Amino acid sequence: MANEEQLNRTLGNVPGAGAVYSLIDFIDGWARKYSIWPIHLVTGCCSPEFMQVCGSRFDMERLGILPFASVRQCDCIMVVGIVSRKMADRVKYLYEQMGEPKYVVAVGACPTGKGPFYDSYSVVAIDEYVPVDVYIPGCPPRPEAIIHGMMQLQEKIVKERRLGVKE
Amino acid sequence: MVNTLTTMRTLSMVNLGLTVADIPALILEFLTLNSKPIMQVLLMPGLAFILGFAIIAVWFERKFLARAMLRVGPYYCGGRSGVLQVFADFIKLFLKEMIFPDSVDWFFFALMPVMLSTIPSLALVLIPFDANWVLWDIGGLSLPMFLAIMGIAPLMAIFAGWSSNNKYSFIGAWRVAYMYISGEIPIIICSAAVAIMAGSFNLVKIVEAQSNGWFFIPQFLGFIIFFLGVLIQAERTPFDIPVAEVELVFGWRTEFSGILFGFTMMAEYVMFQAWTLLFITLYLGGYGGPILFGNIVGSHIFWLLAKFVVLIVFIILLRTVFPRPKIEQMIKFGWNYLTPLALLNLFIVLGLKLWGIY
Repeated sequence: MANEEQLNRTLGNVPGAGAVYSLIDFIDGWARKYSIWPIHLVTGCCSPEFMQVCGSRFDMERLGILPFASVRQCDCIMVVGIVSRKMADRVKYLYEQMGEPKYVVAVGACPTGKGPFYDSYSVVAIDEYVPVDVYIPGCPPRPEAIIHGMMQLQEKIVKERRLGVKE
Repeated sequence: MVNTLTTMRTLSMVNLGLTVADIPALILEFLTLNSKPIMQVLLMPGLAFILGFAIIAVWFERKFLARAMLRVGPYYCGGRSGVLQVFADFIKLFLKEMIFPDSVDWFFFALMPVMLSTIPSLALVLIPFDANWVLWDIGGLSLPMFLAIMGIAPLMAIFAGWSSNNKYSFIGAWRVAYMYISGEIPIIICSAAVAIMAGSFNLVKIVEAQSNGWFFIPQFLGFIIFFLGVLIQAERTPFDIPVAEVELVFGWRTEFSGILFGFTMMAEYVMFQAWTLLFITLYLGGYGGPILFGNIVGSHIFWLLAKFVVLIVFIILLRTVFPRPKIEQMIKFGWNYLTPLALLNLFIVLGLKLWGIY
């Protein structure tokens, strides 16, 4: 860790290093913005809305969002629907299997904040287990809302800097 | 020892009258003399053709499938038609974390995706793009060599699934083995029939033997069987059983992440390209043009590319139509129907040859 900091300090003093970092960050941000591959984790009943989003009327592939089968290749978990205490451990397990950079989108009122099951003993909000990037409220959210949420995620990805100066 | 070295240096540099200053001129001379092979390696049957095909085909497939499903497909990435979509995907995969799980055999796990996309592309050097445009012209060995090189490719997929040490990838790997056994034998019998009809194993001679009529007319049965075999070998969608997304998670590709997955994705298209080019060479007249009034119209690389594009569009169109059979239906299809019909095709060709019709 100390070596890494020293390396960063040394490289930071090289003239032009910041420009190279910014360029790589720009290209990386652009590529990740248009190629979000979500894994479709159906924990509850918001999934018909998700199917609508992939279908012909609200086509999510316009934004480059392509659902994939295996979590190793994905960038984003979409937690679709109610998460019980037992399922939340599985969501965390799945999150840990995914490669960096990774994002989580909570779709629906239940994973966002327990929703209509606020007084249930077994329902949890998913941000107690994994870090959530975008919350999409609604019971269930309409497909337009899900697309809007994914566009918010794209804006967040573009503003990220993985290499450059972190403020 | 020192004396020998000195003598060698004298021989090489001084006796030939060369100095260090001559080296750029030598390199230039080498490049001018070998410009055609170098361009062939880099451009036409080589690197640019394979990469360009993979990029264009992935984009076209996504767009075409989307149109067939009444969707729009990739739209916002790069202009208004998503032309940069594939670049975005590949840059993202390059800059993404590669996960090596604890249980994998990391040597095979890292090596196999790279081998999988390079070895089928080696087979492309044997395809005649014109009568004098064969990168590796080995005469009568070219068809057996092509089949040998493409026969190595399934082993890579099997090793990739095996080294992942995951139950889904393991099942996928053995499905690859089943698929290739039931698909490769009809293909080889059909190529034997073509070689008998042309009287040679040389791919250039096979193309030239079709100047009176393409081989898909006398061997219609073999044409259909070889086409199905191409679909099986390239794991195209009616037969994408090894990566069945519903039953197995992603087949033998389940554990690959980052650019290793990108290589496995590219490998699919390279296999597809190599087998389709062989199919065109064997049955559809290769680089020869269409036959009008008993004469062939202009042999040019353009014809090969035109047939290639038509076939690619047709094979992608099949993906929108057909569902996937089960693995035992597929094996039954391969052994009960394809192999006996391929043998029947071979006997028909022998009969045509014996009675002197061809």
